[in-house]
Amino acid sequence: MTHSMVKSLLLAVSLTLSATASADLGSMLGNTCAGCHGLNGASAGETMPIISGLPRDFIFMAMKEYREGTRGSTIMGRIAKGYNDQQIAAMADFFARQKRTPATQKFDLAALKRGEKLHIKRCEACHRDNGTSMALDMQPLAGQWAGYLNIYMGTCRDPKWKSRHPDAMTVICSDLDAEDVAALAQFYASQK
Amino acid sequence: MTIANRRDFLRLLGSASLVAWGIAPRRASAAAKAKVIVIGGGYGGAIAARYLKMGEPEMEVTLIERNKRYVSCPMSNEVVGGEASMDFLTFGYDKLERQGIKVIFDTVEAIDPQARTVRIKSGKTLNYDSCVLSPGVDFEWGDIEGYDEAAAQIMPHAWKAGPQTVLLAKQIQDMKDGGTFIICAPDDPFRCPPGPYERASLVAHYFKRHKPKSKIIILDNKTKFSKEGLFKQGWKQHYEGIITWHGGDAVKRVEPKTRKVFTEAQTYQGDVVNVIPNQLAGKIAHLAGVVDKSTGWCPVDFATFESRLQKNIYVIGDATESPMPKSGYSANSQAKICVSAILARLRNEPLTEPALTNTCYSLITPDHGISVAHIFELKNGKLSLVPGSGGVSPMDATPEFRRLESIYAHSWYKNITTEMFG
Ligand SMILES: Cc1cc2nc3c(=O)[nH]c(=O)nc-3n(C[C@H](O)[C@H](O)[C@H](O)COP(=O)(O)OP(=O)(O)OC[C@H]3O[C@@H](n4cnc5c(N)ncnc54)[C@H](O)[C@@H]3O)c2cc1C
Repeated sequence: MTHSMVKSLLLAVSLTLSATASADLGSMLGNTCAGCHGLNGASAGETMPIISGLPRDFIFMAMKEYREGTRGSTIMGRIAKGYNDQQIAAMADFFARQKRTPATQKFDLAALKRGEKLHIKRCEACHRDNGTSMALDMQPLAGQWAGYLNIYMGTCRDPKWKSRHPDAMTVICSDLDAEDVAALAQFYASQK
Repeated sequence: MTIANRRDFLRLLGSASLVAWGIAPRRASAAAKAKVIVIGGGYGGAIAARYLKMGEPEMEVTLIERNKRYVSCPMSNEVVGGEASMDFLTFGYDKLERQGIKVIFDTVEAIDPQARTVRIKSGKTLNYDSCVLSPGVDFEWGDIEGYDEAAAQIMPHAWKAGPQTVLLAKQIQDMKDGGTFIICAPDDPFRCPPGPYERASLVAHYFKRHKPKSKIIILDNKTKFSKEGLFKQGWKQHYEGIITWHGGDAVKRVEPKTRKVFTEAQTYQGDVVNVIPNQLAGKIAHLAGVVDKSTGWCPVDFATFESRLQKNIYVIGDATESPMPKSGYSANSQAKICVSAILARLRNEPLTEPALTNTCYSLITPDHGISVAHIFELKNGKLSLVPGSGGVSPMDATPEFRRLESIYAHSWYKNITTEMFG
C-alpha cells in the first residue's frame, strides 16, 4: 500500500462516523454530480469526463485543487467551494467504487496510429500500459471521452489558462500541435 | 482499528456500498411492497421514477404523464433561434418502461390525500403509499389584459416546449428583415430565470446573420435579472444596437390582432411578440391541496420534499416554493432527495442529510456560454447557499473560456437527459 493511500484511508476513517453513513453521504453527494457527469459518473456527454471508477485519491485531490483555485476550470472551482474535506472524501469514495464505463465513440485510423506513436515517445513513461494504468493514483486515460481529453490537453497548452497542472503536462503539451493533441486523445479513448 | 491492506479497506467500504441505494437494493422490506405513484414525467418526475426503481427494484413504481413524448424546455431556445430541430428536444419513455416502471399516458384529474388515491382522466382510480408530484408550472392567465390561451396562438409564450416552440420559431423565420421582436418577461418567481434573456440572445444571433436590420425589445417589470452583468456584456460584444432591455415597466395589456403591447409607460408595436406570462404551480397541485394560496407555489419540508400541507405527497421541481431557482437541474436534484426520503421512511431508517445543487448554462451565441452554480445546505429547516460557493462565470473571461462553457452546456444536456430517459 502506498503512503498516500494510507493517508487517505486514515482520513476516510477518521472523518466518517461509520461506513454506512459514509456510503449514504457519498451517494447523496455523488448523485448531485450526475446532472453533468452522468448517472454514477458514467458521462454520456463527450466533453464531460467519465468519473466513475477513477482513483479515489485522484478525485479527492482534484476537488481540493479546484476548491483552492490551483487547478484551472470553468465551473468546478465554484462548485468545489461548496464542500468540506469530509464531503469531498465521501464523493471520492462514491465515484471510486463505481464500475468504470468506457465511452462508446468513433475513431479515425490514421489519427490512432499517429496517437500511438506520440504516446510511446512522450507519454508512456507516466501513463503506462497505453493509458490504462492507475499507478500513483494517476487518472486512467483509456476509454475516456476523446472530446474531454482534447480539451484537457488544450488547456495544458494554453499559457493564459490559470492553473497548476502537473508541470510535466504543461511542458510536454506545449509543443504539440492541435492535430497531435487530437490524435493522442483518440488513441487513449480507443484503449480499453 | 487497523486496516491491513487495500482489500480490507474495500471490504469495509463494500459492505456499505452494496447496500447504498442507487447501487443495489438493501434487503427485502416494506419498501419492496410499497406503491409509489409519480405524476409528471419531466425533469423532476422522470428522475424520481428512475431512482425509486433503482433503489428498490421490486417496488411498484407508476409514472403518470399526459404526453407520450416529452419535449425539453432546456435547449428549446436553440430551436427558436434556428440552431436546432425539435428532434433534439424530444424524448420517449420506452427505456423507463424497460426498467420496470409502469408508465401510464393520461392526465391526473384528482388526488385524494386522505384515501391516498389518484384519479386519471380515463376514469381509473389508483392507490399509493407515497405520491411524487412534479407537474411543472401553469400560467397566471389574466394578469395581462388580452392575453389568454387563444391569444397565445398569435403571441406564443413558448414557455412549455412543444407546438408553442414550433410556432414561435416559425414566426421568427417568417418575420421580415427590419421587424421588431418583443419579449415580455415574467415576474419572479418563474421557470428558468435566465431563459428570456438567453432567448433574446439566440434570436439576435439569428437576426444578425439572416435579418440584420431587425431589433429585439425585452419588456420587463423587474429591475434586475439573472446573470445580468454577463448577458449585458455579451450583448454589447455581439448584439450592440440589436437588443434593448426596458426594466421596471410592467406590461399591462396586449392586442394580439395588431401585435401591440401596452406597458404602464408606453405602447410598443411588434412584428413577433413572445409573451411569457407569470407562473404558478401546475394545476394538479392546486387540485391536490398542496398549494399555498397566497403564493401560488407548494411549501415543502426541505429534508424530504414532502408537502407541508398534505402527508405522503412529495412535491418537486418548478411547483415547489423554495429558494432554489426553478430549473431542470434543481428538479433533478430535488427528485433524488425525495426518493432517498421515501425509501428511508419505508425502510424505517434515518434520513440522510440532503445535498441540493443547481447548475445552469445559458448561451449568448452558440460559442459563448455562461453559467451559474448553486450549492445549498439545510440549516434549521431553511435552505441557504453554502457561503463562498457557487456563483456566475467571471466577467473578464477569455473567448476560449466562453467557448468551453458553450461546449459544456451541450454535454450537460446530453447527460441530464440520458439520466432521465436512458
Ligand atoms: C426556454 C426555457 C429554457 C430552459 N433552459 C433550462 C436550462 O438550460 N437548464 C435548466 O436546468 N432548466 C432550464 N429550464 C427550466 C426547466 O425546463 C424546468 O425547470 C423543468 O422542466 C422543471 O421540471 P418539472 O419536473 O418541475 O416540470 P416539467 O419538466 O415541465 O415536467 C412536468 C410534466 O408533468 C406533466 N403533467 C403536468 N400535469 C399533469 C397531470 N395533471 N397529469 C399528467 N401529467 C401532468 C407535464 O406534461 C410535464 O411532462 C428552461 C425552461 C425554459 C422555458
